[in-house]
Amino acid sequence: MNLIHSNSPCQRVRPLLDSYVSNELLIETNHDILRHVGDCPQCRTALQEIEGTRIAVRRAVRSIHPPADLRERICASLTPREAAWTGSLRPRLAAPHVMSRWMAVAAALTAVVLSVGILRNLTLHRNSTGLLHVGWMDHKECVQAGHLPARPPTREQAVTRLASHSGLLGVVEAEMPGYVLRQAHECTVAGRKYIHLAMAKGGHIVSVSLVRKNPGERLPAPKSATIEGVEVFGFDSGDYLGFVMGEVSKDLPGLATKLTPRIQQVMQTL
Amino acid sequence: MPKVVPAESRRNEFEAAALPHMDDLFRTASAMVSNRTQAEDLVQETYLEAWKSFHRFETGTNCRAWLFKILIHRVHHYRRKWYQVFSKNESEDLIVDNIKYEAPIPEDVKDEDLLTALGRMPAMFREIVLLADVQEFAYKEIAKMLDIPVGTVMSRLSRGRKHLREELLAVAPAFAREGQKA
Ligand SMILES: [Zn+2]
Ligand SMILES: [Zn+2]
Repeated sequence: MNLIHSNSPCQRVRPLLDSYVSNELLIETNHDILRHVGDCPQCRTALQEIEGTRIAVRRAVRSIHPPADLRERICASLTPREAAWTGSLRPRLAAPHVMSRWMAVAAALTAVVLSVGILRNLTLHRNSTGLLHVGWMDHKECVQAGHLPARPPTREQAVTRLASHSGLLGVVEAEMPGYVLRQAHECTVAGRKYIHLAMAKGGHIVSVSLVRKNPGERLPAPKSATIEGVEVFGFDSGDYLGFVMGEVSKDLPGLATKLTPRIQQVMQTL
Repeated sequence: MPKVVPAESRRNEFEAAALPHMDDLFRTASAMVSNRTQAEDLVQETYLEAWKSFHRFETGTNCRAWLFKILIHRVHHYRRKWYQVFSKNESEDLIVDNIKYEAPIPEDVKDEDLLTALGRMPAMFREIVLLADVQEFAYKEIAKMLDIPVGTVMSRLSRGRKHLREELLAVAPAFAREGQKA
């Protein structure tokens, strides 16, 4: 579809703006739209309205928090009877008296079993290379998939969106001269919460992201890996895991080395 | 021969896969029914139902989408039960889009105003906005969850976003004025 040479580009672009904001269009179509809104103030305003509403509703709904004991209540309500076995197998060794005794004990110990279970699972499966994948997934989803807004946030907007983490802006500004801010927000990728900054210099995007740790996750020493052409530098930062990521380049390791202690410092003062 | 997995490890697997989504499920439920206590019940029911059918859940597939699908069914059931008017009032064709103009929404609109506006929207548009704009599910995933075509997801989302902007103006008219002053 060639939007630019259409007789009425605005009429072609407007109906696509909703899908553009949802990141549901082909990359070529995204480019056509970006080019058009760059020249057309009316379509740019329409796009900003949709994006603004999306950001505002996301923030508002995320301000809702469940009661502190909901998790416990949910766990207590799950009995170990159903679905405790894979496939359609029925629990063979569960003679009735064994079963009910186990259930009584389980009910009493639910909370303990749960937290220990999760901790063990994560420590087993989330070794440090696995953790670097967590960072890379975010980069892939949020940056490469075209989540970058048509217009970068102003510094003021970035400060508001980052809220208590806005000190990170000062860090990237100081340590990344020549880069411009392309994105700064809190976002959720596959159910995990991220603080996310993207900086660009000549088409090269470097992303800095922080993800709140799940129990048992840690990176005792900084670690790096190249995953699908993206170099990921991961480090521990208090309650967070930090990542500096970008396409493999000779500048990136130095940049990551400079950024790491400054980010740790900012995250510590929270 | 099928593999027998001890109950405890299956239970741990379920909790590790499903519980991280509890906050988002609660938020969605709470915004859908505008009632915290009811939202708690709906989330609890969702987990119970998910646990009961966990043996049918394939490891490696999207657990989050699966849980949301269950939640949405619970919410629809709840709505049908308590608001008999639901289907009458909210059949898609009967909802008239009477949006006269599109007003810019400042990004710093108050959360509580936004939630009020969300609560005033027709439920079928509210749920689409929650799934697409807050939970960031893809159109295809939403279509599967709601059992509707992708084209319907697109049109409902577009109308939903407009409805939200309109309701927001009604809830927080001060914002429209402030925006013009600045
Ligand atoms: Zn235009
Ligand atoms: Zn992001």
